[in-house]
Amino acid sequence: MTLKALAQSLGITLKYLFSKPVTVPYPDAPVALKPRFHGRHVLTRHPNGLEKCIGCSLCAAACPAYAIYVEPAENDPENPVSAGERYAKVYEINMLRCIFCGLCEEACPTGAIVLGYDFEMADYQYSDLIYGKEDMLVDVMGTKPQRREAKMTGKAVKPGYVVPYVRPELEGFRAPTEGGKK
Amino acid sequence: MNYPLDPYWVVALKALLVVIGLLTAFAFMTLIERRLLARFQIRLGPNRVGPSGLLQPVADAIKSIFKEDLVVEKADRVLFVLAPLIGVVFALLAFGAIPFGPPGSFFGYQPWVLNLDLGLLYLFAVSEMAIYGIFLAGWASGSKYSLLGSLRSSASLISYELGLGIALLAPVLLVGSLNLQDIVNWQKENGWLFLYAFPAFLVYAIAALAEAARTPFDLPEAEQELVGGYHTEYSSIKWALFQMTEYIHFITASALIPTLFLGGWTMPFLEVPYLWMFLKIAFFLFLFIWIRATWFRLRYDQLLRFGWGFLFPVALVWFLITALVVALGLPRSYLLYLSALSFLVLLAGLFYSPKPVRKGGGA
Amino acid sequence: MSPLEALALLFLLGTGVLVVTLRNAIHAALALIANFLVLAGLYVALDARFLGFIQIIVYAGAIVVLFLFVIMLLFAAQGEVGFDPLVRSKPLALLLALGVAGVLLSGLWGLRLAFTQNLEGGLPQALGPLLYGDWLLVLLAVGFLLMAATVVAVALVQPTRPLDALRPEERKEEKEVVR
Repeated sequence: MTLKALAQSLGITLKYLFSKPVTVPYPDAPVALKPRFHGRHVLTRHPNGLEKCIGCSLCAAACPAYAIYVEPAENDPENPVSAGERYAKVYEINMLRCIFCGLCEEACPTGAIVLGYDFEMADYQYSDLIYGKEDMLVDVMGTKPQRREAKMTGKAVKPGYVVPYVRPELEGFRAPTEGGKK
Repeated sequence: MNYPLDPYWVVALKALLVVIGLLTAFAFMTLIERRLLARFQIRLGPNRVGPSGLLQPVADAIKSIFKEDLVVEKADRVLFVLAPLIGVVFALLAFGAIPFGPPGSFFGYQPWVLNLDLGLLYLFAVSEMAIYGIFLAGWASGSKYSLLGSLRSSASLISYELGLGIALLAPVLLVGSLNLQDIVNWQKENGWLFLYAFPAFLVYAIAALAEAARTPFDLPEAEQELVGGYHTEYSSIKWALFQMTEYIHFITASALIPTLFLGGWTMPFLEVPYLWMFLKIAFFLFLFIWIRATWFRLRYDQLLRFGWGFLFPVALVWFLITALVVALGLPRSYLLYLSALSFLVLLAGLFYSPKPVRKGGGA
Repeated sequence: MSPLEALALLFLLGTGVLVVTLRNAIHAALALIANFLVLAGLYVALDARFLGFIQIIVYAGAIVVLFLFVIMLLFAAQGEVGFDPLVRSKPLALLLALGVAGVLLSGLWGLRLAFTQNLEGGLPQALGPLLYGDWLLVLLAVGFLLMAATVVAVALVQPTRPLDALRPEERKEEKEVVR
């Protein structure tokens, strides 16, 4: 350690004093997430509007945390819900157990379940942390507490993140992207 | 030099003003330091309470007053309460002797609270007594970390106080007075003292850092080693009092360095009574925060070696040189040249930097 | 004697008594600080300002800090001690203390102030020439006395034999003590 090193170190910190802070003031400004972030699951649909999920329960089998519960039912041929023979009548994920590992996404034969970006899921009751189909289908914006708040204040759901682009697996999922486009 | 004395009520009012001013300054220094440290570390710092965090001190005050006030079972109850009070009182006492402007400039009264003909000795005495706050706190807590903190503080006190005292002797010899007003006036007439005593200025500035227990000399409260040092067992308002003590020392040190070596309230051009003093204080406050954001903490034995092996001899040699010049009646310009020379030596040290030698060839 | 002076003297005596009677060594040291501070106040009141401040800086500041340092390091502040090792020597100590007091008082009895110069409030500008002029020899003698005491104290704690003349197991022990 020399005097020169001491002086240089002062110079370095002074340089940082005048540079822009790296802090993201999170609740005020959105967090920049990577496109492959593992957030709240999304149940995607085919372009024709049919659900991709065929109720095969492979995701539940693959889940290391036993967080997924699937109850399949036969499709009505006249008015099908999904593209296959069967569909998921009940599809629940216990977010308290889920470890967001993404193995369900790996296991899914139809690419129906994809991990999205929402992460603000903190809630007060256990029962509110069990997400059903109505909470996870692609058209749903935000998590349960976010949607509850939006309902109470009458404002739109405000996601706390922004991504550079939405990865193609999340077909039809609308997420705020960096350019400000949805 | 004798100046007209103020009536007692004015003195009391000024004392009150100094206390209130210092306490407000303390409150906002905590915020300023946190914000500045954050910016040095490319963070934002506290900005949630009030507009850009300006009300943070208020929030902190409310929080620390209403927190639970714990007294540890093994504590010496009387001393445990007394220690922070001793610290704050002696820290507050020191500031009154510092002049802030020319005589009679405070609405026709004097811009200082005390004008002692032994002002420097007074400051020295008060700052030494303030150590007892830290010292007794560490012992009264009945905790080994606290005790280690206070032992460190006393050991470092012994090691830097000597260099500090002897560094102060050079300006005292030149001015021929211990009165702070005289020292400032002398600088107004003959040029600032750091020109005459650059090594002493350097030693004093470093020792003042140690006196205020700031990085790189903040051993008494090294969080990483001693939990919280001497105030480990303190909570609530008593802990806040320690913070107060620390920051008041910090502010006093930043006010004393300019008073003694940088001309106090004077300025060769554009003399505005209070402005320059406050600017100089602000500069040193900033410098100390900057140093805190940059440098590491010295190890305990390193501080002792630094105090005895560097500060003390440098101060002593400069004191002898000054004494020689004064005693033999040599022209003072000799000191100017020697000061400039020592400055050049420092510069050379900045540019000449040998590769550090690793012992034992470790990683 | 004004009532204020009487009060100060009372404080002085009271804290002095506390220093020797308090069981806890730290409390005793604190009483000593209080004693020194009152003494410094008395000096200042007697217009010996320089002496007063030096009293605070050197005695109340530096020396008592050293005392406290040693007390804390040795954990001597435990208060209650199992047995009193000084039972037999107590009367002797009392006798000696009385003797010293007698000598000091008798010295005071015939004392005439040796100088009548104006010391201007005991400022260093006036004290310096006096201490390093007329009283130089006395000053040197006092300094010599203090140094002699220091040398004796250091000599007393020296090991009886040089360190390298000790047996290995002894040396380890000694080293720890010396360190």
